[in-house]
Amino acid sequence: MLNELFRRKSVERILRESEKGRMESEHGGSLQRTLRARDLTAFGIAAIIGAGIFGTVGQAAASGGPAVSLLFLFIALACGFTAFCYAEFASIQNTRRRLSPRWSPDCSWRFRRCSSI
Amino acid sequence: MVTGLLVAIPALFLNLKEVIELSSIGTLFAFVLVCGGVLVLENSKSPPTRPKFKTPYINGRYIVPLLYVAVVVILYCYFKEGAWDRFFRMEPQTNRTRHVEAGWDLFEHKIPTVLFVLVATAVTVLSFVKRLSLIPVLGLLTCFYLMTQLGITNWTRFAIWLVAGLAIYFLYSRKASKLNGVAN
Repeated sequence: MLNELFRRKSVERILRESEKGRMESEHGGSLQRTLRARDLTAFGIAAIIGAGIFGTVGQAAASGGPAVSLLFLFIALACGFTAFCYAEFASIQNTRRRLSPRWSPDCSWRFRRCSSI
Repeated sequence: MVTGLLVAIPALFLNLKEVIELSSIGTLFAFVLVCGGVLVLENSKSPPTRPKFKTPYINGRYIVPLLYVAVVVILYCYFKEGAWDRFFRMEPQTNRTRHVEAGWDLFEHKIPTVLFVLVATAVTVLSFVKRLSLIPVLGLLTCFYLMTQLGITNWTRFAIWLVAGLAIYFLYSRKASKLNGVAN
Protein backbone atom coordinates (compact mmCIF):
# COMPACT_ATOMS: atom_id res chain seq x y z
CA MET A 1 0.00 0.00 0.00
CA LEU A 2 2.82 2.38 0.81
CA ASN A 3 4.31 1.66 -2.57
CA GLU A 4 1.01 2.51 -4.12
CA LEU A 5 0.82 5.80 -2.25
CA PHE A 6 4.34 7.01 -2.84
CA ARG A 7 5.06 5.96 -6.39
CA ARG A 8 6.43 8.68 -8.61
CA LYS A 9 6.42 9.42 -12.27
CA SER A 10 10.01 9.40 -13.44
CA VAL A 11 11.45 12.42 -15.21
CA GLU A 12 12.50 10.20 -18.12
CA ARG A 13 8.93 9.15 -18.64
CA ILE A 14 7.68 12.73 -18.63
CA LEU A 15 10.32 13.68 -21.19
CA ARG A 16 9.45 10.66 -23.32
CA GLU A 17 5.76 11.45 -23.30
CA SER A 18 6.30 15.08 -24.13
CA GLU A 19 8.61 14.10 -26.97
CA LYS A 20 5.91 11.79 -28.31
CA GLY A 21 3.35 14.55 -28.06
CA ARG A 22 5.63 16.85 -30.02
CA MET A 23 5.97 14.37 -32.85
CA GLU A 24 2.26 13.87 -33.07
CA SER A 25 1.49 17.53 -33.24
CA GLU A 26 4.07 18.16 -35.94
CA HIS A 27 1.45 19.41 -38.37
CA GLY A 28 -0.18 21.85 -36.05
CA GLY A 29 -0.78 22.64 -32.49
CA SER A 30 2.70 23.12 -31.14
CA LEU A 31 3.58 26.68 -30.30
CA GLN A 32 6.67 28.41 -31.48
CA ARG A 33 9.02 29.54 -28.80
CA THR A 34 9.46 33.27 -29.00
CA LEU A 35 9.62 34.41 -25.40
CA ARG A 36 13.10 34.55 -23.97
CA ALA A 37 14.36 34.79 -20.44
CA ARG A 38 14.28 38.58 -20.58
CA ASP A 39 10.63 38.71 -21.64
CA LEU A 40 9.65 36.28 -18.97
CA THR A 41 11.53 38.22 -16.33
CA ALA A 42 9.66 41.33 -17.40
CA PHE A 43 6.39 39.42 -17.13
CA GLY A 44 7.49 38.27 -13.73
CA ILE A 45 8.20 41.77 -12.48
CA ALA A 46 4.87 42.95 -13.78
CA ALA A 47 3.22 40.22 -11.76
CA ILE A 48 5.32 40.85 -8.65
CA ILE A 49 4.07 44.40 -8.31
CA GLY A 50 0.57 43.22 -7.71
CA ALA A 51 -2.37 43.94 -5.52
CA GLY A 52 -0.68 42.53 -2.43
CA ILE A 53 1.80 45.34 -2.11
CA PHE A 54 -0.76 48.09 -2.52
CA GLY A 55 -3.28 46.36 -0.32
CA THR A 56 -1.12 45.86 2.72
CA VAL A 57 1.68 48.38 2.63
CA GLY A 58 -0.46 50.85 4.55
CA GLN A 59 -1.00 48.48 7.41
CA ALA A 60 2.63 47.47 7.45
CA ALA A 61 3.77 51.08 7.49
CA ALA A 62 1.33 51.89 10.27
CA SER A 63 2.71 49.24 12.57
CA GLY A 64 6.32 49.32 11.44
CA GLY A 65 6.97 52.97 10.68
CA PRO A 66 10.02 53.77 8.61
CA ALA A 67 11.33 50.25 9.18
CA VAL A 68 8.96 49.10 6.48
CA SER A 69 11.64 49.85 3.92
CA LEU A 70 13.92 47.36 5.67
CA LEU A 71 11.10 44.86 5.59
CA PHE A 72 10.90 45.24 1.84
CA LEU A 73 14.62 44.67 1.55
CA PHE A 74 14.45 41.57 3.71
CA ILE A 75 11.54 40.10 1.76
CA ALA A 76 13.27 40.88 -1.52
CA LEU A 77 16.34 39.03 -0.28
CA ALA A 78 14.32 36.02 0.83
CA CYS A 79 12.43 35.91 -2.45
CA GLY A 80 15.61 36.38 -4.43
CA PHE A 81 17.24 33.33 -2.86
CA THR A 82 14.11 31.31 -3.46
CA ALA A 83 13.85 32.47 -7.07
CA PHE A 84 17.17 30.78 -7.79
CA CYS A 85 15.85 27.53 -6.39
CA TYR A 86 12.61 27.79 -8.33
CA ALA A 87 14.53 28.40 -11.53
CA GLU A 88 16.69 25.37 -10.94
CA PHE A 89 13.71 23.17 -10.19
CA ALA A 90 11.80 24.32 -13.24
CA SER A 91 14.73 23.70 -15.55
CA ILE A 92 15.15 20.10 -14.39
CA GLN A 93 12.19 19.13 -16.50
CA ASN A 94 12.86 21.41 -19.38
CA THR A 95 10.72 19.70 -21.99
CA ARG A 96 11.16 21.53 -25.23
CA ARG A 97 7.47 21.78 -25.81
CA ARG A 98 7.02 24.25 -23.07
CA LEU A 99 7.19 27.92 -23.69
CA SER A 100 10.32 28.29 -21.71
CA PRO A 101 11.50 27.55 -18.18
CA ARG A 102 8.35 27.90 -16.25
CA TRP A 103 9.69 29.63 -13.21
CA SER A 104 8.92 33.18 -14.10
CA PRO A 105 5.13 33.38 -13.99
CA ASP A 106 4.72 30.84 -11.26
CA CYS A 107 7.43 32.17 -9.07
CA SER A 108 6.43 35.74 -9.39
CA TRP A 109 2.89 34.92 -8.57
CA ARG A 110 4.26 33.58 -5.35
CA PHE A 111 6.51 36.58 -5.00
CA ARG A 112 3.58 38.87 -5.06
CA ARG A 113 1.77 36.99 -2.41
CA CYS A 114 4.85 36.76 -0.33
CA SER A 115 5.58 40.44 -0.54
CA SER A 116 2.19 41.07 0.96
CA ILE A 117 3.34 39.84 4.34
CA MET B 1 -15.65 32.38 -13.99
CA VAL B 2 -17.09 30.03 -11.38
CA THR B 3 -13.76 29.93 -9.57
CA GLY B 4 -13.55 33.69 -9.71
CA LEU B 5 -16.94 34.08 -8.10
CA LEU B 6 -16.17 31.44 -5.51
CA VAL B 7 -13.03 33.34 -4.57
CA ALA B 8 -14.30 36.87 -4.88
CA ILE B 9 -17.50 36.59 -2.88
CA PRO B 10 -16.01 35.10 0.30
CA ALA B 11 -13.13 37.56 -0.02
CA LEU B 12 -15.61 40.37 0.56
CA PHE B 13 -16.50 39.06 3.99
CA LEU B 14 -13.27 37.61 5.32
CA ASN B 15 -10.84 39.36 7.58
CA LEU B 16 -8.12 40.67 5.28
CA LYS B 17 -5.32 40.23 7.78
CA GLU B 18 -6.14 36.60 8.47
CA VAL B 19 -6.51 35.73 4.82
CA ILE B 20 -3.20 37.36 3.98
CA GLU B 21 -1.42 35.62 6.81
CA LEU B 22 -2.82 32.25 5.81
CA SER B 23 -1.84 32.67 2.18
CA SER B 24 1.57 33.93 3.29
CA ILE B 25 2.23 30.92 5.47
CA GLY B 26 1.27 28.61 2.61
CA THR B 27 3.46 30.45 0.14
CA LEU B 28 6.41 30.51 2.49
CA PHE B 29 5.96 26.81 3.13
CA ALA B 30 6.22 26.21 -0.61
CA PHE B 31 9.37 28.38 -0.68
CA VAL B 32 10.90 26.37 2.12
CA LEU B 33 10.05 23.12 0.35
CA VAL B 34 11.61 24.29 -2.91
CA CYS B 35 14.82 25.46 -1.24
CA GLY B 36 15.01 22.26 0.75
CA GLY B 37 14.28 20.22 -2.37
CA VAL B 38 17.18 21.79 -4.24
CA LEU B 39 19.47 20.97 -1.34
CA VAL B 40 18.22 17.39 -1.17
CA LEU B 41 18.56 16.88 -4.93
CA GLU B 42 22.06 18.31 -4.99
CA ASN B 43 23.18 15.93 -2.29
CA SER B 44 21.31 12.84 -3.43
CA LYS B 45 23.30 9.92 -4.77
CA SER B 46 21.80 10.06 -8.26
CA PRO B 47 20.83 13.62 -9.14
CA PRO B 48 18.29 13.78 -11.98
CA THR B 49 19.16 15.00 -15.46
CA ARG B 50 21.46 17.95 -15.21
CA PRO B 51 19.29 21.05 -15.05
CA LYS B 52 19.86 23.76 -17.60
CA PHE B 53 19.90 26.39 -14.93
CA LYS B 54 21.97 25.83 -11.86
CA THR B 55 21.96 27.91 -8.72
CA PRO B 56 25.46 29.38 -8.42
CA TYR B 57 27.30 27.31 -5.87
CA ILE B 58 28.87 29.13 -2.99
CA ASN B 59 30.25 26.88 -0.32
CA GLY B 60 28.28 27.50 2.85
CA ARG B 61 30.63 25.59 5.07
CA TYR B 62 32.06 28.59 6.92
CA ILE B 63 29.68 31.36 5.92
CA VAL B 64 26.53 29.82 7.41
CA PRO B 65 28.01 29.06 10.85
CA LEU B 66 29.59 32.53 10.87
CA LEU B 67 26.23 34.14 10.10
CA TYR B 68 24.59 32.03 12.79
CA VAL B 69 27.07 33.16 15.42
CA ALA B 70 26.85 36.76 14.21
CA VAL B 71 23.06 36.80 14.56
CA VAL B 72 23.21 35.33 18.06
CA VAL B 73 25.87 37.83 19.14
CA ILE B 74 23.98 40.78 17.68
CA LEU B 75 20.76 39.66 19.34
CA TYR B 76 22.51 39.28 22.68
CA CYS B 77 24.49 42.50 22.57
CA TYR B 78 21.98 44.90 21.08
CA PHE B 79 18.58 43.38 21.77
CA LYS B 80 19.13 41.82 25.18
CA GLU B 81 16.41 43.92 26.80
CA GLY B 82 13.94 43.27 24.00
CA ALA B 83 13.59 40.14 21.94
CA TRP B 84 16.17 38.09 23.82
CA ASP B 85 14.68 38.55 27.30
CA ARG B 86 11.13 38.28 26.09
CA PHE B 87 11.95 34.92 24.59
CA PHE B 88 13.53 33.43 27.69
CA ARG B 89 11.23 34.92 30.31
CA MET B 90 8.49 32.62 31.52
CA GLU B 91 6.82 34.69 34.26
CA PRO B 92 3.22 35.71 33.61
CA GLN B 93 2.98 38.66 31.27
CA THR B 94 0.24 40.91 30.06
CA ASN B 95 -0.19 40.75 26.33
CA ARG B 96 -1.36 43.42 23.95
CA THR B 97 -5.03 42.89 24.77
CA ARG B 98 -4.26 43.17 28.49
CA HIS B 99 -4.86 39.54 29.29
CA VAL B 100 -2.45 37.93 31.69
CA GLU B 101 -0.76 34.98 30.09
CA ALA B 102 1.12 32.27 31.91
CA GLY B 103 2.17 28.66 31.59
CA TRP B 104 1.06 26.95 28.41
CA ASP B 105 -0.73 30.00 27.04
CA LEU B 106 2.52 31.85 27.22
CA PHE B 107 4.67 29.03 25.97
CA GLU B 108 2.59 28.14 22.95
CA HIS B 109 3.40 31.46 21.33
CA LYS B 110 7.07 30.59 21.56
CA ILE B 111 6.73 27.26 19.79
CA PRO B 112 7.32 28.65 16.26
CA THR B 113 10.40 30.53 17.44
CA VAL B 114 11.72 27.45 19.23
CA LEU B 115 11.11 25.52 16.02
CA PHE B 116 13.06 28.12 14.08
CA VAL B 117 16.01 27.96 16.45
CA LEU B 118 16.06 24.17 16.18
CA VAL B 119 15.84 24.18 12.38
CA ALA B 120 18.43 26.94 12.04
CA THR B 121 20.84 25.03 14.26
CA ALA B 122 20.29 21.78 12.35
CA VAL B 123 20.75 23.47 8.99
CA THR B 124 23.89 25.22 10.20
CA VAL B 125 25.42 21.96 11.35
CA LEU B 126 24.41 20.22 8.12
CA SER B 127 25.85 22.95 5.95
CA PHE B 128 29.12 22.68 7.82
CA VAL B 129 29.25 18.90 7.50
CA LYS B 130 27.97 18.57 3.93
CA ARG B 131 29.21 21.87 2.47
CA LEU B 132 25.71 22.86 1.40
CA SER B 133 25.19 25.50 -1.24
CA LEU B 134 24.77 28.91 0.34
CA ILE B 135 21.87 30.37 -1.64
CA PRO B 136 19.29 27.61 -1.00
CA VAL B 137 20.32 27.47 2.65
CA LEU B 138 19.80 31.20 3.13
CA GLY B 139 16.53 31.04 1.20
CA LEU B 140 15.32 28.23 3.42
CA LEU B 141 16.28 30.02 6.62
CA THR B 142 14.87 33.43 5.70
CA CYS B 143 11.59 31.97 4.50
CA PHE B 144 11.28 29.74 7.51
CA TYR B 145 12.00 32.71 9.75
CA LEU B 146 9.18 34.66 8.11
CA MET B 147 6.91 31.64 8.63
CA THR B 148 7.68 31.47 12.31
CA GLN B 149 6.70 35.09 12.75
CA LEU B 150 3.13 34.40 11.77
CA GLY B 151 1.80 33.22 15.12
CA ILE B 152 0.61 29.95 16.56
CA THR B 153 -3.03 30.39 15.50
CA ASN B 154 -2.00 30.54 11.87
CA TRP B 155 0.20 27.52 12.31
CA THR B 156 -2.67 25.51 13.72
CA ARG B 157 -4.95 26.50 10.87
CA PHE B 158 -2.22 25.79 8.39
CA ALA B 159 -1.61 22.34 9.89
CA ILE B 160 -5.29 21.45 9.72
CA TRP B 161 -5.49 22.64 6.13
CA LEU B 162 -2.37 20.71 5.19
CA VAL B 163 -3.56 17.46 6.75
CA ALA B 164 -6.96 17.78 5.09
CA GLY B 165 -5.34 18.46 1.72
CA LEU B 166 -2.97 15.52 2.02
CA ALA B 167 -5.80 13.21 3.04
CA ILE B 168 -7.87 14.19 0.02
CA TYR B 169 -4.88 13.90 -2.28
CA PHE B 170 -3.88 10.42 -1.20
CA LEU B 171 -7.38 9.01 -0.81
CA TYR B 172 -8.38 10.16 -4.26
CA SER B 173 -5.20 9.33 -6.10
CA ARG B 174 -4.85 5.87 -4.63
CA LYS B 175 -7.59 4.61 -6.89
CA ALA B 176 -7.67 7.26 -9.59
CA SER B 177 -3.98 7.58 -10.46
CA LYS B 178 -3.09 7.17 -14.12
CA LEU B 179 0.01 5.28 -13.10
CA ASN B 180 -2.13 2.44 -11.80
CA GLY B 181 -0.80 -0.76 -13.31
CA VAL B 182 1.73 1.04 -15.53
CA ALA B 183 5.43 0.27 -15.47
CA ASN B 184 7.34 3.47 -14.93
